[in-house]
Amino acid sequence: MLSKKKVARFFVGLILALISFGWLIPFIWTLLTSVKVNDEIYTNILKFLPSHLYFGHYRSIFTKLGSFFSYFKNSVVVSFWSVLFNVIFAATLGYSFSKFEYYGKKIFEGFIMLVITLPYVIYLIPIYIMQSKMNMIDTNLGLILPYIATNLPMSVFIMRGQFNGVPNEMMEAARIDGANQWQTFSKTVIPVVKSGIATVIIMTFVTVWGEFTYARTLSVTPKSQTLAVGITFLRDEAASWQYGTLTATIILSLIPVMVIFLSMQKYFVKGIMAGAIKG
Amino acid sequence: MKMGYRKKSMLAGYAFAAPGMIFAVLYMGYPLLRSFYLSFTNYNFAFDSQPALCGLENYINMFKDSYFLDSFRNTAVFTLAFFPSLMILSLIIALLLDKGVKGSGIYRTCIFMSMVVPLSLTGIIFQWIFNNQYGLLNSVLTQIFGLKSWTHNWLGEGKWAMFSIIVVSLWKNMGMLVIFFMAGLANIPDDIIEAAKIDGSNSIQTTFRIILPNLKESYIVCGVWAIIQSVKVFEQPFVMTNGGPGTSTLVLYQYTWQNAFKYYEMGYASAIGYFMGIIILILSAINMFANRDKNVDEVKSKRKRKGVVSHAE
Amino acid sequence: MRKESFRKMTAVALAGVMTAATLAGCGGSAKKEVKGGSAKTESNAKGDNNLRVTVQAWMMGKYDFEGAKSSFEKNHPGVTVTYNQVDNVDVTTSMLEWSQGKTSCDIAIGGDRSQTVPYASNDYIVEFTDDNFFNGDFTKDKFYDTFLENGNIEGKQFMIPLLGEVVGIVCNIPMMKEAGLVDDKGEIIPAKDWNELYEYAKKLTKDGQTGFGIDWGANMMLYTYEACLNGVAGTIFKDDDKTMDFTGDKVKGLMETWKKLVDDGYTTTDVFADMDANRTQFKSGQLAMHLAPASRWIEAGENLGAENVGVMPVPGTDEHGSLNYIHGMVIPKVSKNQDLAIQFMKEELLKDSFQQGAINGYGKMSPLKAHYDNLDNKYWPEVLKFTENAITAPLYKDTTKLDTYIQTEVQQYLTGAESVDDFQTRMDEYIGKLDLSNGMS
Repeated sequence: MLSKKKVARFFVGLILALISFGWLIPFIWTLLTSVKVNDEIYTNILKFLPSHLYFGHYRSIFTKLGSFFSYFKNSVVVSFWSVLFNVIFAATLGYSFSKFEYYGKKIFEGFIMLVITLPYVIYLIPIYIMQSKMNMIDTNLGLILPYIATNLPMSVFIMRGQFNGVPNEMMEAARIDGANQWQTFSKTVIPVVKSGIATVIIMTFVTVWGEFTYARTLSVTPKSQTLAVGITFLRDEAASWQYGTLTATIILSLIPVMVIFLSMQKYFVKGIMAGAIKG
Repeated sequence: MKMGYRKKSMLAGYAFAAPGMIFAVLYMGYPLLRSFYLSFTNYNFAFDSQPALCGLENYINMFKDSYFLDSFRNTAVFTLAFFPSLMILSLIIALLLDKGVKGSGIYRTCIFMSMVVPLSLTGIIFQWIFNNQYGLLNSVLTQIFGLKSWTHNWLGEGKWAMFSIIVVSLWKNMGMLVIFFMAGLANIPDDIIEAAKIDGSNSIQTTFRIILPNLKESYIVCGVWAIIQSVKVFEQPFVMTNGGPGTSTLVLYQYTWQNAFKYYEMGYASAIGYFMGIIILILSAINMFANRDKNVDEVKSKRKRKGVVSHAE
Repeated sequence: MRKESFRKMTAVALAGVMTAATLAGCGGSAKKEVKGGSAKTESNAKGDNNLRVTVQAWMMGKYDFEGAKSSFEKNHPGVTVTYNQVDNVDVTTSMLEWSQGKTSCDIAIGGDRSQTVPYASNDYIVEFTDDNFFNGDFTKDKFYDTFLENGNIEGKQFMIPLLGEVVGIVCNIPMMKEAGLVDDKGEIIPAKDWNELYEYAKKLTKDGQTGFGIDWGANMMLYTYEACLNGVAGTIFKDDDKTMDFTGDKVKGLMETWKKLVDDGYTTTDVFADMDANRTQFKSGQLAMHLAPASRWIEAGENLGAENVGVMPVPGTDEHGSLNYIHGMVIPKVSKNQDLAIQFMKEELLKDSFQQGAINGYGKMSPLKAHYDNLDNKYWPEVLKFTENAITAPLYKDTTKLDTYIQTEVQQYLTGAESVDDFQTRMDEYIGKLDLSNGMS
């Protein structure tokens, strides 16, 4: 029995290793392409590693995209606030939907979910007109608000599921200890759903960071244009030798996302493992 | 599992819901209503000064429009291929990771990593890998495996284009579902599994008889997520194949986008958008119904009612 | 506990920084921006001395916009020029802006008249007349008619061309020479008709080298069709001189040749998924002939050597004219800097040094005849021959729909999903359903 188990575990490990490697290939290839000279990129002959490291593509980004730092800053600001308020609203709404009963709750839930069932393109024009009347076009706020709204349903859904997994006894106990509703929520319940919050943070951040359609229409100058829009400036007519610069830009844009992801990683693990122990 | 002090907690319920709901209603109220209204009008944004009511004309015309029908078919094909493979493959990987084999932490991180790439960039990355002339895939097939006959114009040939898009969508979305499933697996009490083992059930039986049925929660969550990702698929085909070749990868979302921003037919686009919404609602309702628990747990029945209510909306 | 409070402090500090950054980027209507930098932020109050120009990103790399800016600012003290990049012509955004009575630019560069029609029919853009524009050194006769026509709607000039393109076949001369398609003087022997062109493609295809690439991609399909059809038939219309023709033997012959080229492997369909595929291959020396905007010939010279690239006309277009299109400039009526804008256009954007940089470097064609007097490359006369009587794409209200439809239909046909008769019938049916008025009413 023992060696059979070991063999099984070995195979499981092998399969996982292969899958993981396969998962990483797109990243690796993009990274490699970004440091190759054009001639080595546009060739039928397969060559994994560049003959020498070429940083010209990275350099050209900063020269071609004069406002690179503007775009970057805008992406950061917009993402930060969208994620923050998304989490706040999603947590409070999810908690309310999960743990309380009140008249109209189903309508509230339905409304929130309704938002996500429609393709976001059809909201764009009404939102534009709304914001234009409020002079919010070409501002960071003009992007933050729609992003909060469009990411809310999925975040609420996730948080509600998370809260459902919190046993009510916990809240009872806190209540007995004299905590009021807010204290119960913030000090007792929230720490338990950390992994859910981490998930929402990452998902929203990734969606907002790369969102293009709204960004392109609602922000028209480098004052508020985000990185997702900036990248497209390298794509079209530009020069058909694009992939060098494109892959370099992709790598650059992925760095912040990676940073956040790798730092949030622990919360995933903690949350999942904590659930297992408790069960 | 009811709260003991209902009235006080109702107030608290409203209080917690207030910030989010107020924001959502104020902000999305107008867009939702406006697009609903527009779906019943003829309105060419560039040339018409006012929308003109036309009843159900848009909805009826959709079914006479060969491009709409193609996009509907393509979205259906995509959903049918993508949804089950996503659920099954993610579940398998979650089960494998759950074994806790050495290095699982690293493998887990690798698989999650695909989540962090924004969809639009994913498209570009894979467009490069699938490139017919210079792409990694064709080069590897030819030069490392010597399988020249297996190379294809991945993005330029009808059925391969759809295949490529499905592969990319799987790569991108599996991370999320693996997380959900792993959370679900972690929530299964260990004693049930122990009990089964003591009763003499082997690994496979345990999996099928004990674990899988207990993941109903996860199926609902993952199902809804997967349905939304399927019906609303957009960036991948848009960036990688632009709906082509021909209309073989034109999906509903892109067709909506085309009507809105290339033809400026806002009325028609809104109608297609609402049509997509209805499909998502129907599929979600089916998903929840299929996963309903016979146990009248208040939490679960709440959700089922929600499914029905949304459907009626 | 210490870690807790440290994290809390970081969070507060972060929130503080974000708030500051957001407020700075938030620009309410009364706030003035504090940041410097030319391309960044300006006060929202419309100053009469700030000229804002929206430019497509790719143009920034091919034209000396920075030079134009410094020169203009030097000649007009107190005036600043700011550039805004966009990736592509975006009619929706402009329409949205101008319909609300606001604009983020005084000159919008990009696209041709088909994109301009919504603007014109809603009276959002300035009309260029002899009074406000076509005078002095810029009278109409100094421009190429074909390029001007592309900015003209019902006799009114709403768009001034910044640059023009014309469809031709660019060729890799060493490859042509090897196949015996070059004469004693080292010049390309043009193919007289599509059959000959087919033979050329056959001779030029071998291992590692594709003979012919035709631009059937998203950006060029309709233009390619129009150019080729005009070449073989002398017109792209049916007898009513208005409806684009998809019926008849000439069209059938053209389409069948295309299909034969694909089926026999002398042409690829990579361009369906990647509209720059042919261009990339030509520049990397793997494609012998490329049916595309003729400017690609100069562009490829940078990679292959100027003496190794040449042009020949699409069969029939030296006689009937090819197809041209432009990227033009419009001035929104909402702009408060219209006069300044026109000055900028005349003094800088239509200046010979500004234009010639792009002509010589990238083959982008200037709309002004005078700019062609002293050009280096010997193929310019050839190109001008099929430019002078080039046709312009017809102005249909539903051009975008036709454009999308023809792409999908041609792709279906060339991948064997439908027959040529089906193609012709469906296209003819489709164009019958479209609104072929110019949309002005």
